[in-house]
Amino acid sequence: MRTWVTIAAAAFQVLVLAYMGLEREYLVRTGRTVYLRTAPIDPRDLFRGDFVRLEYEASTVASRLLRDGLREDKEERRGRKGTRVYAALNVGENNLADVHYATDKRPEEGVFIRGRIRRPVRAAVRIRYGIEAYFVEQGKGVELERRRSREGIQVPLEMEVAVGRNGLAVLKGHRWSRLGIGTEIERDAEQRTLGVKLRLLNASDKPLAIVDLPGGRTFSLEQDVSWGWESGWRWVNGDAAHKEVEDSDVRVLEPGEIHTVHIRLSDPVWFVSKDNQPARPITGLQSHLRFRFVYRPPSKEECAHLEKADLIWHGYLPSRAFTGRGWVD
Amino acid sequence: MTHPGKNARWLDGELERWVGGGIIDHVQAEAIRGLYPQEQRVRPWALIVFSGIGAVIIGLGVILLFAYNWQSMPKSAKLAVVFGALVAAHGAGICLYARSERFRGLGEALGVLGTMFFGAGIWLVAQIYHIEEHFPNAFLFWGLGALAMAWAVPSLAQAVIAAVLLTIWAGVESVEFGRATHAALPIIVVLLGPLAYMKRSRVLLAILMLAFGFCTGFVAGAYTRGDVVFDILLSLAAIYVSLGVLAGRYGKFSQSAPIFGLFGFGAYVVMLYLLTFPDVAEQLMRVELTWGLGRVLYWLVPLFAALAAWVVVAWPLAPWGRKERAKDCPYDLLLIPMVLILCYSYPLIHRDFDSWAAAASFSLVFLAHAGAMMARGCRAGQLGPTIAGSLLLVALSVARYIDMFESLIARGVVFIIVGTVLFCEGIFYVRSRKKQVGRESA
Repeated sequence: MRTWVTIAAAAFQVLVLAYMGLEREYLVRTGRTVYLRTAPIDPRDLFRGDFVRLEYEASTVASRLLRDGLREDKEERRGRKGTRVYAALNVGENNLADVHYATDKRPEEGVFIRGRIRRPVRAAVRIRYGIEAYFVEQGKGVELERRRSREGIQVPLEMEVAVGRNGLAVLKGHRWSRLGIGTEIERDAEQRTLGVKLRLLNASDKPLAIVDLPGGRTFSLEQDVSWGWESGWRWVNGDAAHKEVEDSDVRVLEPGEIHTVHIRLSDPVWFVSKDNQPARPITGLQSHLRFRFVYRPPSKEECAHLEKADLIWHGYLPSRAFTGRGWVD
Repeated sequence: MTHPGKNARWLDGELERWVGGGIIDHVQAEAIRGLYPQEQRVRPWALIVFSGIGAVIIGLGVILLFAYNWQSMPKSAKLAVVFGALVAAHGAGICLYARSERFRGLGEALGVLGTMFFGAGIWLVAQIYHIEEHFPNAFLFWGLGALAMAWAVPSLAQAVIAAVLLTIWAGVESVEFGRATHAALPIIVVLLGPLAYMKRSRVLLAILMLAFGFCTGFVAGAYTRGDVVFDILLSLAAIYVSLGVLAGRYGKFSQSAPIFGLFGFGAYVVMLYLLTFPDVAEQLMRVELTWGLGRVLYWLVPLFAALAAWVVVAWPLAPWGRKERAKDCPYDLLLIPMVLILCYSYPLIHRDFDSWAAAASFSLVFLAHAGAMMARGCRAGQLGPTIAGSLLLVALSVARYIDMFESLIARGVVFIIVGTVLFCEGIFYVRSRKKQVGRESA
């Protein structure tokens, strides 16, 4: 045996492991920490009891957010499976980040995470960032699953992620969103879809305030393209300004308290249109088209004059996807 | 104290007998003994195999143990255990191996354990940092770690582990991600093949041949859309058979000849059998001639390599060749390159030569192989080729019974003929065997 050669070969194995660990450890200690929200519940999520499989809102990037080489002709697949991509992030309230745009060229500045295309679909691109598995102690995965859904209301899991300058991301931990949202379809006697009942839950252990503008206008209606079907449907009031917020619009929720908002889809306020076609209710659209309501309270500046301004939860919270025919994800 | 292997003990016994009988003298006996390296005679295989298996199972146990992921254990402690186990296993292995020959088997087994800890460490570090990257890379690095140890020690067990892991890597990349890992092929041939040659290890050679075959299929399948994989694997089988003949004829690793022959001819016969079915032959030989340079190279290079190898095999048969060298190559094997040429040229000739005609040709070749093996086995009094040839004949008869002969009369006649042939073969074999035993006794 050539002893020194053997020592060198064994050292190679040690160094490989050391590089794996040190790179991530350095990132955990020095990287920029952001929170990424996991996607609203998907029946295909697998809680295996010893690790949790995660899907993020950032995992599906709509085609309108693609740049550079990813913005190819619609007839072509946007990038091949395995193509390296970078998702530039907007970091908002409570360090919660969402995707500003995705590109195949490494950004010069700002916070971004790198990943690979998992699957390009018609209206979006699915990206894998290498942080889709969260290992927990055996049995704890079921506990996480239970906390994600309380009384039928989804409370998003937000993953604490350390991001390096090269876009490499490492999971550090998790937290629960302070606000949860539940989605139910309201039907008439003949089971036709009338509207949507949205329930907001204070999932924290402290009082929290929400803004409920008249007519449910704190919510916006957006098309969900995560399954890659046709895109381009827009809510007719997407660009309309809402009224000025008053104290009477603010609701303080105690821990565990739920506030319910009913939205009638037959109300023209909630119609959608595409390509300058006449506006229509989503109940009249094809069954494969999915939408979400997104809770978006007015900004801190708009609420600054309010009495309970310091309690108001700011951010955005999407509901589960649903179709006009009454199917809920 | 040395541990002579079974073969070495047999050789020692025979050499003594030959010297005693005046067939060879002592100098010649030593020269013959010197052809078989000392290491081959002292490998404590039992210790290595059982210790190696034990090491693998211990490694798996470690993975399962830490899969519980005790929350009470801080990250630093987990990392300390991972690195500590790795360093301890390799350190102890190196110390024991270098200490004396007596502990070499144990030292090598600890090295295998260390490599298993390395693999476990990759998954455990991934668990600790919640890494869900491109997971085939784990098999690649694990395999490269084993490869490094295989050469450093040197260790056949580590080389086997490296071959298996690299094959898994190529397979997962191909099947799961559609990626062709071209590097897998030269790694197996260039970085592991020489080790099998150096150590004259038939076990490692067999593993490498299987690994190379699987990797070729995976890589070619991912790169070429799959319709040329059959041609490529048929070429590979032909190359293996030719290498078997050439290894026996030339070179210092003649023990490899039966290994090449077994795997090469075995794969060739299976593929040839498939080609005797017209519909299957049509599907397997159909190649869409849409050219990209890489695809063309992947398709044609194995063909040219196989044909070149068979030219070398058949060279002694030429008028200028040394006929005594041709005796090691049964004549029916020369049908192999012809099968290869027919298979490759089918896309060009299929309009004038339909699949039924091609299948009939392949059936005749299959029949020729069966007959040649039976004749060869009977003449030499060898049971192996006799039985193998008989099985091929029966398999062909069953296949044609299913798809060719509709008439009961035809079927009956064929079965009577095949049965008669097998019956006569048995008689001929027994007679031949008796003559051979008689010669040996005399």
